[in-house]
Amino acid sequence: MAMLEVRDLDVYYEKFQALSGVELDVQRGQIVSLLGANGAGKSTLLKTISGILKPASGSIYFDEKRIDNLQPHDIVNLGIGLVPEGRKIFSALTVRENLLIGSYTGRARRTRNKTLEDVFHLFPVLKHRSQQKGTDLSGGEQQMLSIGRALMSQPRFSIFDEISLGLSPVVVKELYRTIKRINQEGMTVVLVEQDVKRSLKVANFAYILQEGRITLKGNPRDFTEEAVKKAYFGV
Amino acid sequence: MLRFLEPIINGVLLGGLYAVIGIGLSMIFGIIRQVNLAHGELMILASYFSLLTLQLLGLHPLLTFLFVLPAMFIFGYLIQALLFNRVMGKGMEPFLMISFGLSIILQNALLLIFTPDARSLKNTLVIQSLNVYDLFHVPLIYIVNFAVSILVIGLLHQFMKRTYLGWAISASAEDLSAAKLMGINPKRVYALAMGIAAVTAAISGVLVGMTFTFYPHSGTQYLIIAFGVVIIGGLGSLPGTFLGGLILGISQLAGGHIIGPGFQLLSGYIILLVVLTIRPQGILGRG
Amino acid sequence: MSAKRIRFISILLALAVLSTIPLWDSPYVMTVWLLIFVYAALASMWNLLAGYSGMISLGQQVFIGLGGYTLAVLSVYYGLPIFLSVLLGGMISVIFAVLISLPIFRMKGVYFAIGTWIIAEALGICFSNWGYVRYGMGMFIQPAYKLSMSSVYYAAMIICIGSIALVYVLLRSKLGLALMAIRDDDIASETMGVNIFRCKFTCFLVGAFVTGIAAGILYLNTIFIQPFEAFGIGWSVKLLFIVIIGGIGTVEGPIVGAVIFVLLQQYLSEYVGYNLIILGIITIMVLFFAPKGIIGTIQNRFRVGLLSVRRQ
Repeated sequence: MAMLEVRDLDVYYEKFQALSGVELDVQRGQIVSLLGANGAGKSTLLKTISGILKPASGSIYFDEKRIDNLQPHDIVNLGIGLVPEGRKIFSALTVRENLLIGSYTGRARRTRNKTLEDVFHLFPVLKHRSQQKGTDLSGGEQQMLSIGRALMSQPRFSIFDEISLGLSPVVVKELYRTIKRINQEGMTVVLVEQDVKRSLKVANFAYILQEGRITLKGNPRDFTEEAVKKAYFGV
Repeated sequence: MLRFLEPIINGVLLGGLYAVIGIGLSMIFGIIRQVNLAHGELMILASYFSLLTLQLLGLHPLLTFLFVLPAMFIFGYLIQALLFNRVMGKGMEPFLMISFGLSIILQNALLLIFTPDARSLKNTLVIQSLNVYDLFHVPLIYIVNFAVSILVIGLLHQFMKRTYLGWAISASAEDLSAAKLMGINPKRVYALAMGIAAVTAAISGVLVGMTFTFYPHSGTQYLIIAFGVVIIGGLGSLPGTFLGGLILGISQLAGGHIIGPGFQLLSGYIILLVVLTIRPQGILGRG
Repeated sequence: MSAKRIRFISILLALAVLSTIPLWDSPYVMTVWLLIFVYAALASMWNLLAGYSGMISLGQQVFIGLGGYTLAVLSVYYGLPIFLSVLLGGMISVIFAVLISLPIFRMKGVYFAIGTWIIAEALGICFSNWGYVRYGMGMFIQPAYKLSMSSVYYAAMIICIGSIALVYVLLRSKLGLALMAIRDDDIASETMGVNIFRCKFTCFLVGAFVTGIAAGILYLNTIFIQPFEAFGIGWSVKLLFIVIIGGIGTVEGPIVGAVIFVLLQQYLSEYVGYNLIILGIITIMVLFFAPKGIIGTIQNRFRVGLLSVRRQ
């Protein structure tokens, strides 16, 4: 059984159908890439998995438990962590408080001090700036904060939504190195990216979305450039 | 000029009390962007509850806090959990109308139980006053009110800054989606926040009961004061709420001093209407 | 016979029957229907604002008080004919509405609601401190004693029919189209040339006018006016109840709501003090379980409407 199973998913955004018949599997320990042009439906899919949107039909299973009918906070408690698009750092809280609020739920709250140390180890710059206001950090640092915050809830399954947006290649390279490290330590990862090349390099498996449908899936090493272009744009 | 000293000083002290009246409304407005029209009734409910406790147990009004505050916390929690949580996310109208309905129910229930007679929580602080170099008089109760209000606002400020629940409330107010991703259950946070708001309303209700006479319908004027404090001082601003209370308190007492005691409320209302017209988000608030 | 014809004839029949009520020699029935007519008129105006123009007002009592006091002052102090005074009550209300529209229209949503409420409270304070209108003791509208009950009854009936007809005509006009466009998407409607302010302003003035007149007629019945009661929030409570139960955003809703309300008031008159509580509880229950009210729920289920303004 795959860790995450998405079956025949239809999702509507207002009156517009954003996803049609989406089927997707993520095996334990994989790094799965989700690609597609702007508006293809990637964010919608992620929001549906994390419970912020509800599907019109279809189902989502996590560790064989049905989750498409659950509230976001329950889904987080099951072990899914989402690093949202746009980082969404809380300006009302400091760096440290932003991290700590990531371990809001009971299970994670008990071990929060240890987890905090681990996150600081992973991203030392956060430790240096721990007393500063969350939104006073640079773009790359905020992205690290957002990732660290998601890790604070002790997820077994992490989703990264467009983390390279607006960041320099050097910073992105560092972030990806961190993601690979986390994966090697046992985290299952789903990456949503604009940066096709980089994401296909690091992934075990990839899905390409176009206008709400999966148009290509498989091991990225088997993808030809032509096939990818066609899956993206349909030409 | 000197004859203004007394109303201004008293206005400042009263303003502290007004700030506590408004802080609960401000907090809830900050989180869920809705005004609880029953806020005044929560205050007066606490005043009457204190009266009961006082009559049954013979305690000093300030000691009734021990019973009134926990009871009001539970009451606030329940009205959010059972009533308001059902219509969260359905727009402004349902919430407005339900809170309005609740305010009417509470007001008339109090009227039925306690009759329309004037009541007050008898204490000696109201009669004693401080005589400052014969320049002006300050009733002791005003000083107590001001001290309590500094305490309450200070505590609330610390609570919001240092506790998990406080962070959860700030986070939910800022970005609800992101807060949900932290594992925060919005309905539970709202209910807890309403409980806290009810406690602040209760504190101000007991103090008001000790300072002035109250009736079942007094809730209305205090709702407008609370709203005024929030609007003048600005949303989402703790120091702003305090400033709002001060401005309202001073303008009420100064206005009453100039025009006449019957017009105290009116001068407050006029200031409020002016601010609403020019700058609804308040003097210090963020739009 | 087409459905439209049937509807038209049944409405005429109902009106015909209602106009014979003064001949039934039952002052009680006349009073009940008089109240129903007036409340239906008041409620349909509140509904015009809240249900169609998106302005929830908690201050309609401003116009109720102004209408009532204009009637009182003009007929008692100046001896003006009584129905003229009622009409002028409507005019004074409109004038005041124009005066406050500049500040009040800058307020949106909950600010508007509370702003209108504050104005009403402020007027209550002013009037209760004003010697000319006998302070808080209130005024007796003596000239109304001479009126026969049936003339007040017919006046109430006229204002009710008039207000419902007015709402119906407004909603089927260009203004109505504009309001529906605003209701669906106000930003989009603005780009298509709909002047939101003018639409809402018109509705506000119409509401003030009719409310002022209906209030005058109401006070012809009660004969006594007092500032805190006239400008009190109780009016908004009753109007909210009527419109919510009847069906917000429908033309027939206020009528149904008024019938239920007046009958409920009569039934509960023995349990003084409980009636507003029960009103409040019923309102909240309806908001939870049937937010569209009676007419709205029927319209959804059976797709019928007596006075529906939907275009076929």
